[in-house]
Amino acid sequence: MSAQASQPDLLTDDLLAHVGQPYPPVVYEVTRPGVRMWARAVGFTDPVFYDVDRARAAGHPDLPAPPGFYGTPVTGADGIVPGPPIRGLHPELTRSLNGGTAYTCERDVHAGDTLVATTAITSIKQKASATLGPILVISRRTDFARDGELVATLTATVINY
Amino acid sequence: MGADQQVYLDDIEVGDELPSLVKTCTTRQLVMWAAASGDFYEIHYDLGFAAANRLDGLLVHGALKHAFLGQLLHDWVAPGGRITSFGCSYRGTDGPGEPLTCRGVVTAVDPGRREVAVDVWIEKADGTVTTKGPATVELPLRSGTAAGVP
Repeated sequence: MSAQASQPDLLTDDLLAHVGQPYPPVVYEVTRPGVRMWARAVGFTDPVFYDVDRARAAGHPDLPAPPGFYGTPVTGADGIVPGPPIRGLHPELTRSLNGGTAYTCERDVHAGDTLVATTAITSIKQKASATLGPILVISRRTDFARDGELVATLTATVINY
Repeated sequence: MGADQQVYLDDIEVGDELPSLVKTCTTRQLVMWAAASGDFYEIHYDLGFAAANRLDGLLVHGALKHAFLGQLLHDWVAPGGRITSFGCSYRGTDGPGEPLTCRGVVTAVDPGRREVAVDVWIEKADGTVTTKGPATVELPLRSGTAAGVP
Protein backbone atom coordinates (compact mmCIF):
# COMPACT_ATOMS: atom_id res chain seq x y z
CA MET A 1 0.00 0.00 0.00
CA SER A 2 1.21 3.49 -0.78
CA ALA A 3 1.63 6.05 1.95
CA GLN A 4 -1.28 8.42 2.26
CA ALA A 5 -1.19 11.99 3.43
CA SER A 6 -4.52 11.74 5.15
CA GLN A 7 -6.81 8.99 6.32
CA PRO A 8 -9.95 8.10 4.44
CA ASP A 9 -13.16 8.82 6.31
CA LEU A 10 -14.57 5.41 7.09
CA LEU A 11 -17.45 6.63 9.24
CA THR A 12 -20.27 6.79 6.72
CA ASP A 13 -23.88 7.42 7.73
CA ASP A 14 -24.72 3.83 6.80
CA LEU A 15 -22.01 2.58 9.15
CA LEU A 16 -23.03 4.83 12.05
CA ALA A 17 -26.65 3.75 11.63
CA HIS A 18 -25.62 0.47 13.28
CA VAL A 19 -25.12 2.26 16.62
CA GLY A 20 -28.03 1.58 18.94
CA GLN A 21 -29.95 -0.44 16.39
CA PRO A 22 -32.15 -2.92 18.27
CA TYR A 23 -31.96 -6.66 17.65
CA PRO A 24 -34.27 -9.44 18.84
CA PRO A 25 -33.20 -10.92 22.18
CA VAL A 26 -31.28 -14.21 22.25
CA VAL A 27 -31.89 -16.92 24.85
CA TYR A 28 -28.83 -18.31 26.66
CA GLU A 29 -29.07 -21.61 28.52
CA VAL A 30 -26.75 -22.14 31.48
CA THR A 31 -26.29 -25.91 31.75
CA ARG A 32 -24.09 -28.19 33.84
CA PRO A 33 -22.24 -29.52 30.77
CA GLY A 34 -21.85 -25.94 29.57
CA VAL A 35 -20.38 -24.80 32.89
CA ARG A 36 -17.98 -27.75 33.01
CA MET A 37 -16.89 -27.34 29.39
CA TRP A 38 -16.20 -23.66 29.87
CA ALA A 39 -14.37 -24.14 33.17
CA ARG A 40 -12.28 -26.93 31.65
CA ALA A 41 -11.40 -24.81 28.60
CA VAL A 42 -10.10 -22.02 30.85
CA GLY A 43 -8.37 -24.45 33.20
CA PHE A 44 -10.25 -23.85 36.46
CA THR A 45 -9.20 -26.34 39.13
CA ASP A 46 -11.84 -25.43 41.76
CA PRO A 47 -14.22 -28.45 41.98
CA VAL A 48 -17.12 -26.07 42.62
CA PHE A 49 -17.46 -25.74 38.81
CA TYR A 50 -17.54 -29.50 38.17
CA ASP A 51 -19.11 -31.26 41.17
CA VAL A 52 -22.73 -30.45 42.05
CA ASP A 53 -22.33 -31.78 45.60
CA ARG A 54 -19.31 -29.55 46.17
CA ALA A 55 -21.22 -26.60 44.71
CA ARG A 56 -24.19 -27.19 47.04
CA ALA A 57 -21.89 -27.67 50.02
CA ALA A 58 -20.49 -24.22 49.20
CA GLY A 59 -23.98 -22.75 49.31
CA HIS A 60 -24.83 -22.69 45.62
CA PRO A 61 -28.15 -24.06 44.30
CA ASP A 62 -26.22 -25.75 41.44
CA LEU A 63 -22.91 -25.39 39.59
CA PRO A 64 -22.06 -21.66 39.59
CA ALA A 65 -21.26 -19.99 36.29
CA PRO A 66 -17.50 -19.29 36.18
CA PRO A 67 -16.63 -15.58 36.05
CA GLY A 68 -17.46 -14.25 32.59
CA PHE A 69 -19.65 -17.20 31.61
CA TYR A 70 -23.29 -16.51 30.78
CA GLY A 71 -24.40 -19.75 29.12
CA THR A 72 -24.72 -21.02 25.60
CA PRO A 73 -26.84 -19.19 23.03
CA VAL A 74 -29.79 -21.05 21.55
CA THR A 75 -29.13 -21.14 17.81
CA GLY A 76 -30.27 -23.03 14.73
CA ALA A 77 -28.37 -25.35 12.41
CA ASP A 78 -26.02 -22.60 11.24
CA GLY A 79 -24.92 -21.80 14.81
CA ILE A 80 -25.14 -18.09 14.08
CA VAL A 81 -26.05 -15.90 17.05
CA PRO A 82 -28.32 -13.17 15.71
CA GLY A 83 -27.16 -9.70 16.66
CA PRO A 84 -25.35 -6.63 15.45
CA PRO A 85 -22.26 -7.44 13.37
CA ILE A 86 -18.92 -6.27 14.69
CA ARG A 87 -16.78 -7.70 11.91
CA GLY A 88 -16.89 -6.70 8.26
CA LEU A 89 -18.95 -3.56 8.85
CA HIS A 90 -16.80 -1.74 6.30
CA PRO A 91 -16.18 -3.56 2.98
CA GLU A 92 -12.49 -2.59 2.90
CA LEU A 93 -11.77 -3.72 6.46
CA THR A 94 -12.15 -7.48 6.29
CA ARG A 95 -9.88 -8.42 9.19
CA SER A 96 -10.46 -8.04 12.89
CA LEU A 97 -8.76 -8.27 16.27
CA ASN A 98 -10.23 -8.36 19.74
CA GLY A 99 -9.72 -5.00 21.42
CA GLY A 100 -11.15 -5.59 24.87
CA THR A 101 -13.64 -7.38 27.08
CA ALA A 102 -15.50 -6.03 30.10
CA TYR A 103 -17.85 -7.98 32.32
CA THR A 104 -20.05 -7.00 35.22
CA CYS A 105 -21.92 -9.45 37.44
CA GLU A 106 -24.99 -8.03 39.18
CA ARG A 107 -26.43 -11.39 40.33
CA ASP A 108 -24.89 -14.84 40.57
CA VAL A 109 -25.76 -17.24 37.75
CA HIS A 110 -26.05 -21.02 38.09
CA ALA A 111 -26.65 -24.09 35.95
CA GLY A 112 -30.36 -24.33 35.29
CA ASP A 113 -30.75 -20.61 34.64
CA THR A 114 -32.15 -19.29 31.39
CA LEU A 115 -30.95 -15.82 30.46
CA VAL A 116 -32.29 -13.41 27.87
CA ALA A 117 -29.58 -11.40 26.12
CA THR A 118 -30.14 -8.05 24.45
CA THR A 119 -27.27 -6.74 22.35
CA ALA A 120 -26.55 -3.42 20.67
CA ILE A 121 -23.54 -1.67 19.20
CA THR A 122 -22.74 1.18 21.58
CA SER A 123 -20.03 3.01 19.63
CA ILE A 124 -18.04 3.03 16.38
CA LYS A 125 -14.88 5.11 16.21
CA GLN A 126 -12.17 5.56 13.60
CA LYS A 127 -8.57 5.58 14.73
CA ALA A 128 -5.13 5.40 13.15
CA SER A 129 -2.90 2.44 13.97
CA ALA A 130 0.84 2.61 13.35
CA THR A 131 0.89 -1.01 12.24
CA LEU A 132 -2.59 -1.64 10.86
CA GLY A 133 -3.39 1.70 9.21
CA PRO A 134 -6.91 3.14 9.51
CA ILE A 135 -8.99 1.04 11.87
CA LEU A 136 -12.51 0.99 13.22
CA VAL A 137 -13.00 0.43 16.95
CA ILE A 138 -16.43 -1.04 17.56
CA SER A 139 -18.02 -1.66 20.98
CA ARG A 140 -21.00 -3.90 21.53
CA ARG A 141 -22.79 -4.42 24.84
CA THR A 142 -24.95 -7.36 25.82
CA ASP A 143 -27.29 -7.22 28.81
CA PHE A 144 -28.22 -10.60 30.31
CA ALA A 145 -31.48 -10.79 32.25
CA ARG A 146 -33.10 -13.56 34.28
CA ASP A 147 -36.84 -13.25 34.87
CA GLY A 148 -36.58 -9.66 33.70
CA GLU A 149 -33.82 -8.78 36.16
CA LEU A 150 -30.35 -7.75 34.95
CA VAL A 151 -27.74 -10.29 36.05
CA ALA A 152 -24.69 -9.46 33.91
CA THR A 153 -23.35 -7.21 31.18
CA LEU A 154 -20.67 -8.01 28.65
CA THR A 155 -18.99 -5.35 26.53
CA ALA A 156 -16.84 -6.50 23.63
CA THR A 157 -14.58 -4.12 21.72
CA VAL A 158 -13.36 -5.25 18.31
CA ILE A 159 -10.87 -3.65 15.94
CA ASN A 160 -11.63 -3.89 12.22
CA TYR A 161 -8.65 -3.33 9.91
CA MET B 1 -9.42 -23.34 47.84
CA GLY B 2 -10.87 -24.40 51.17
CA ALA B 3 -12.33 -22.05 53.73
CA ASP B 4 -8.97 -21.98 55.48
CA GLN B 5 -7.59 -20.11 52.47
CA GLN B 6 -10.26 -17.42 52.51
CA VAL B 7 -8.98 -13.88 52.13
CA TYR B 8 -10.82 -11.33 54.26
CA LEU B 9 -11.44 -7.68 53.60
CA ASP B 10 -9.97 -6.86 57.02
CA ASP B 11 -6.54 -8.06 55.89
CA ILE B 12 -6.41 -6.33 52.49
CA GLU B 13 -4.37 -3.19 51.90
CA VAL B 14 -3.75 -1.07 48.84
CA GLY B 15 -0.66 -2.38 47.11
CA ASP B 16 -1.26 -6.01 48.06
CA GLU B 17 -0.45 -8.38 45.23
CA LEU B 18 -2.70 -11.28 44.26
CA PRO B 19 -1.15 -14.75 44.05
CA SER B 20 -0.05 -15.00 40.43
CA LEU B 21 -1.33 -17.59 37.97
CA VAL B 22 0.74 -18.89 35.05
CA LYS B 23 -1.12 -20.11 31.97
CA THR B 24 0.63 -21.72 29.00
CA CYS B 25 -1.87 -22.43 26.23
CA THR B 26 -1.68 -25.49 24.03
CA THR B 27 -3.34 -25.38 20.60
CA ARG B 28 -5.69 -28.00 22.07
CA GLN B 29 -6.75 -25.51 24.72
CA LEU B 30 -7.43 -22.89 22.04
CA VAL B 31 -9.72 -25.36 20.24
CA MET B 32 -11.44 -26.21 23.56
CA TRP B 33 -11.98 -22.50 24.13
CA ALA B 34 -13.33 -22.04 20.60
CA ALA B 35 -15.92 -24.73 21.29
CA ALA B 36 -16.80 -23.46 24.77
CA SER B 37 -17.06 -19.81 23.77
CA GLY B 38 -18.42 -20.22 20.25
CA ASP B 39 -15.61 -18.08 18.81
CA PHE B 40 -14.45 -20.07 15.81
CA TYR B 41 -12.42 -17.32 14.14
CA GLU B 42 -9.67 -19.19 12.28
CA ILE B 43 -6.73 -17.03 13.42
CA HIS B 44 -6.81 -19.07 16.64
CA TYR B 45 -6.31 -22.54 15.16
CA ASP B 46 -5.62 -22.36 11.40
CA LEU B 47 -1.98 -21.44 10.78
CA GLY B 48 -2.48 -20.81 7.04
CA PHE B 49 -5.40 -18.51 7.75
CA ALA B 50 -3.38 -16.64 10.37
CA ALA B 51 -0.47 -16.17 7.94
CA ALA B 52 -2.86 -14.81 5.31
CA ASN B 53 -3.94 -12.24 7.90
CA ARG B 54 -0.41 -10.83 8.35
CA LEU B 55 0.10 -12.78 11.60
CA ASP B 56 3.29 -14.65 12.52
CA GLY B 57 1.44 -17.47 14.24
CA LEU B 58 -1.72 -18.52 16.02
CA LEU B 59 -3.19 -16.15 18.58
CA VAL B 60 -4.62 -16.84 22.01
CA HIS B 61 -8.24 -15.62 22.01
CA GLY B 62 -8.58 -12.28 23.77
CA ALA B 63 -11.66 -13.52 25.61
CA LEU B 64 -9.67 -16.53 26.88
CA LYS B 65 -7.13 -14.14 28.39
CA HIS B 66 -10.06 -12.28 29.97
CA ALA B 67 -11.24 -15.62 31.37
CA PHE B 68 -7.73 -16.29 32.72
CA LEU B 69 -8.01 -13.04 34.67
CA GLY B 70 -11.39 -14.30 35.93
CA GLN B 71 -9.64 -17.42 37.19
CA LEU B 72 -6.95 -15.31 38.85
CA LEU B 73 -9.67 -13.39 40.69
CA HIS B 74 -11.76 -16.45 41.51
CA ASP B 75 -8.83 -18.35 42.98
CA TRP B 76 -8.08 -15.29 45.11
CA VAL B 77 -11.57 -14.59 46.49
CA ALA B 78 -13.02 -18.14 46.68
CA PRO B 79 -14.94 -19.52 48.36
CA GLY B 80 -16.56 -16.65 50.25
CA GLY B 81 -15.84 -13.68 48.01
CA ARG B 82 -17.56 -12.56 44.86
CA ILE B 83 -16.32 -11.03 41.60
CA THR B 84 -18.49 -8.08 40.62
CA SER B 85 -16.62 -6.86 37.52
CA PHE B 86 -13.49 -7.43 35.52
CA GLY B 87 -12.40 -6.10 32.18
CA CYS B 88 -9.29 -5.79 30.09
CA SER B 89 -7.98 -4.30 26.90
CA TYR B 90 -5.73 -6.26 24.57
CA ARG B 91 -2.52 -4.32 23.96
CA GLY B 92 -0.51 -7.14 22.46
CA THR B 93 -0.96 -10.61 21.13
CA ASP B 94 0.05 -13.88 22.77
CA GLY B 95 0.59 -17.27 21.24
CA PRO B 96 0.28 -20.89 22.32
CA GLY B 97 3.35 -22.23 24.14
CA GLU B 98 4.17 -18.92 25.82
CA PRO B 99 4.02 -18.80 29.62
CA LEU B 100 1.53 -16.04 30.42
CA THR B 101 1.60 -14.77 33.98
CA CYS B 102 -1.67 -13.36 35.32
CA ARG B 103 -1.13 -10.83 38.09
CA GLY B 104 -3.06 -8.32 40.12
CA VAL B 105 -2.59 -5.57 42.68
CA VAL B 106 -5.08 -3.94 45.03
CA THR B 107 -5.79 -0.30 44.13
CA ALA B 108 -8.58 0.59 46.58
CA VAL B 109 -10.45 -0.83 49.58
CA ASP B 110 -14.00 0.25 50.44
CA PRO B 111 -14.90 -1.28 53.83
CA GLY B 112 -18.43 0.16 53.73
CA ARG B 113 -19.32 -1.75 50.58
CA ARG B 114 -16.91 -4.61 51.41
CA GLU B 115 -15.50 -3.93 47.95
CA VAL B 116 -11.91 -4.14 46.76
CA ALA B 117 -10.68 -2.66 43.48
CA VAL B 118 -7.74 -4.28 41.75
CA ASP B 119 -5.78 -3.87 38.55
CA VAL B 120 -5.26 -7.19 36.79
CA TRP B 121 -2.98 -7.94 33.89
CA ILE B 122 -1.15 -10.60 31.89
CA GLU B 123 2.54 -10.36 31.16
CA LYS B 124 4.90 -12.36 28.98
CA ALA B 125 8.13 -13.90 30.29
CA ASP B 126 10.00 -10.70 29.36
CA GLY B 127 7.57 -8.59 31.36
CA THR B 128 5.64 -7.17 28.41
CA VAL B 129 2.05 -6.52 29.46
CA THR B 130 -0.33 -7.65 26.71
CA THR B 131 -3.62 -7.55 28.59
CA LYS B 132 -4.72 -5.21 31.38
CA GLY B 133 -7.80 -3.85 33.06
CA PRO B 134 -9.69 -3.02 36.24
CA ALA B 135 -11.71 -5.38 38.43
CA THR B 136 -13.83 -5.21 41.56
CA VAL B 137 -14.57 -7.94 44.10
CA GLU B 138 -16.55 -8.25 47.32
CA LEU B 139 -14.82 -9.95 50.24
CA PRO B 140 -16.16 -11.29 53.53
CA LEU B 141 -15.25 -9.76 56.87
CA ARG B 142 -13.57 -11.74 59.62
CA SER B 143 -16.58 -10.91 61.78
CA GLY B 144 -18.54 -13.32 59.61
CA THR B 145 -20.58 -11.08 57.34
CA ALA B 146 -20.56 -12.88 54.01
CA ALA B 147 -20.09 -11.01 50.79
CA GLY B 148 -22.49 -11.40 47.94
CA VAL B 149 -26.04 -10.60 47.06
CA PRO B 150 -29.14 -12.79 47.18
